[in-house]
Amino acid sequence: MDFVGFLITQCLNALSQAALLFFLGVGLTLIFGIMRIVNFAHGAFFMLGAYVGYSAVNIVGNFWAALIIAPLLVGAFGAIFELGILRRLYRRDHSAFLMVTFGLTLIMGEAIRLIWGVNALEVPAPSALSGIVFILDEPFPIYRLFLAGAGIVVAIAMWQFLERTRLGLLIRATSQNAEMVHALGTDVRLVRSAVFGIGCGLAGIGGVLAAPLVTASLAMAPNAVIDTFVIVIIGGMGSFLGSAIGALLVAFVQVFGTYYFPDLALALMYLVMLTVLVVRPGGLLGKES
Amino acid sequence: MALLELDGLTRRFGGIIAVDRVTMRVEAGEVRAVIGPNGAGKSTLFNLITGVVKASEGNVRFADETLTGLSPYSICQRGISRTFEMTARENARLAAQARHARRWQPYGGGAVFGDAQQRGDAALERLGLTHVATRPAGLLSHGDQRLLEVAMALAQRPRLLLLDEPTQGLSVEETAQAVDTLAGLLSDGAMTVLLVEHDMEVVFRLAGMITVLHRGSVIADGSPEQVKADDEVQRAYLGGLA
Amino acid sequence: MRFWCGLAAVACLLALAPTGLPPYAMTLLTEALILGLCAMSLDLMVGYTRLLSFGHAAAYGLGAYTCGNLLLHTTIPLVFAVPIAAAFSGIVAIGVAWVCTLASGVSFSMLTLAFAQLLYAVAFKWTPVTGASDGLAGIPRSPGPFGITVFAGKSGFYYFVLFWLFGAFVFCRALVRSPFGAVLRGIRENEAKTLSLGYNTRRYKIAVVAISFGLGGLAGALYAPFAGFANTELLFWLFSGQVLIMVIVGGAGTLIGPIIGAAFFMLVSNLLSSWTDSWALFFGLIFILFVLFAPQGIWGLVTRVFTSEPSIARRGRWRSLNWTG
Repeated sequence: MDFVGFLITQCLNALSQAALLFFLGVGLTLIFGIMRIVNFAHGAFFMLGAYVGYSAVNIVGNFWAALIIAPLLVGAFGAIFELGILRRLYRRDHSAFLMVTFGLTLIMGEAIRLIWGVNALEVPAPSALSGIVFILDEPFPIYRLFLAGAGIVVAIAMWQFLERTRLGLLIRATSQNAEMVHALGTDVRLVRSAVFGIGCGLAGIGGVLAAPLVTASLAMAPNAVIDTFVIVIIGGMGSFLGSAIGALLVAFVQVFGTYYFPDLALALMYLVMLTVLVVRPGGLLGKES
Repeated sequence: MALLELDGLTRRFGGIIAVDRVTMRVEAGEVRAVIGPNGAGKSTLFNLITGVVKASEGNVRFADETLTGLSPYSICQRGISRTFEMTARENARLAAQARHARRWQPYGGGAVFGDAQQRGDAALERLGLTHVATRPAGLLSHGDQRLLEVAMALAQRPRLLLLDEPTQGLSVEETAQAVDTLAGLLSDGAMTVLLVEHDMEVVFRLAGMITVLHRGSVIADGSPEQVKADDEVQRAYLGGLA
Repeated sequence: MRFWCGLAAVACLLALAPTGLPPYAMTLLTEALILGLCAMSLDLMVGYTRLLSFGHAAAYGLGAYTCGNLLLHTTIPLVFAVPIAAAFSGIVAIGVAWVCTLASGVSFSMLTLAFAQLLYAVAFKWTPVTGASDGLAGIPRSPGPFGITVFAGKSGFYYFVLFWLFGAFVFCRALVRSPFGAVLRGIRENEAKTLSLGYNTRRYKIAVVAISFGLGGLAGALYAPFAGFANTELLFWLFSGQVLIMVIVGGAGTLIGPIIGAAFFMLVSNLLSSWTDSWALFFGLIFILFVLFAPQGIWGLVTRVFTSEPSIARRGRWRSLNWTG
């Protein structure tokens, strides 16, 4: 295996990994940027997406349908949670959000265990994507290419959504001056519920997409939480571009780091997060100083 | 000998000169106000004096710097409104405790607390806050909160008291009340004060000497009458508005 | 004065427990006391300084593994191994605290979580020291000095734990009522303001995290010989969460509250686990309900009933415990 081939393979691996991380990061950053809520349960929503995706595939028989249904359900659940519970906390200190979403993580973890059982569940990739391509004579799973592509597509879609659509405009305006938006006649509370729902839905998409790769399992949540926070801390809370960069950085460190220092992967993550926090406490592109 | 001396103090941010060779002397017992239109560099000057920002050129000197290494000045800065449980008394005590040699003591503390509370209570009294001393600070009126901040600075027995816009955010009535109290506090000439302020009424009631900044440099320096009559000051404040 | 009488009364009550309770209940009570110590240690950070940590399992696990190794591989008596392990945790904590306090707010919390996960991952791999996923087993309650073996028995060990819990409690209480504690409270209220008063708040934060960690390590060091084993579960983030729940539900910022919270947790989880497997779900629910409707916790509710503070000050306390922003 020559070096260029190796490099390209690993870069593509990193890109597909970055796509998954991006789904997680952009959802969390959206929620934080607009609502200043740190959603500890984000990893749990990711996990929920994987499991709901599993069931959707089994019931409907079609991966693509599951890819649409599951995130919608997960996003709806998130929006309902925001409506019912998080709304009461806006006037309180933000540590209350952290604790309530932590409680939600515990509840979701247990509920998932009750409904789907303890064992990891296999989710087969659609047949169109389950083959292998040869890139420079190196075999590479098509599914990973699909992931990388999906990440790019969603990134562009999100960007256009925020820049071009009315809801996107409302969302951006709310993040800067919620009172003004309210004064101009929009129900800011609806915007917030929508944002939370979208953020969770994005995590859900990530979960469905990740399932064929890593299988749906109960261990997803804690790891996803940490990864997401590392990304958002690196990229900066509230910065869309930052979460994209953070996802890329983390993915590359993870992929190449695991190859060269297999035992130190987690430590590497920790070190990167630390370095960024020391050099630029607000993250690379963060809004908080 | 001047208590505070600024000598050619300069601060640049990239291409912008925020503070331009400012030279100033504040004598003991003086109440000096630093005024100027928006963007004149008052905040930067303030930060240079307190050491938050490092000077590009020039220096700041406090006469007879204290030997214990504790800072010779106390700052009154906004930021108290988020306290909800600590009472005014407790806040004042915490402020005074900061100057105590054993402020970090992890046990007991009867002596430390006793000293600190005494100083805190005395400061509260000088600011006329004794009647609300046991109320949580966050529940005080805005005017009283500002006065509490001054009291906290005072409780540290500073050589020099630095006030950063102490009446900001107050209504006309609240400002008048606060200024009355502050004027009473400063009337005996025992306190040396450097005051950054926007509100001219406040400045003319409290200040003995005024320094006017415009675009980073000192354009006038003297008594209130001198400054009021100064042409350049008139131009700086009213110049572009005609 | 009232305090010391109350403390003495509780001490007597607890001291009499071995005579009245069956062995099964004694085991539960001992574990509750150990967890109570762990929760109380976290309260120093969360309740008194508003430093939210999701990684307290790291302290617990570190103490447990250190003590376990000391007892398994050396002849150091139990009575020395425990404090040594605790001290070791505290020293390690200084470094951890130095790192974590580089950030504040949410970033601080995430750093504590990441550190705990790091320790968890290390424990999985470092087989010679931690026994990897099997953990350490057969941890003895090493006798000595002078051949004392009284702590090997159920009652003896119980009194050993009681001693450390009371000692730690008195220590913590003195700490929070001292000038140092007053600064912590200032940091909790408004760190920026406290900083501007001239306090080096970072140093105080590092100190409280180190002390908190050391005491958490003490709890872990007591757990290892209590249970006879130590495994990676002790370092898992779910445990960090459980301890946090104990603090909040019991009553943050009161020292007593978290101990009650631990007892509550043990009681309820034992009752619940007899008819359902998913007591964790109920705890998540209980936690959320408390955060929403009773943030001052059980002990906060109890003292509100008996307190004679004027209503304005009480409202202030209620709101501060609400962490109203």
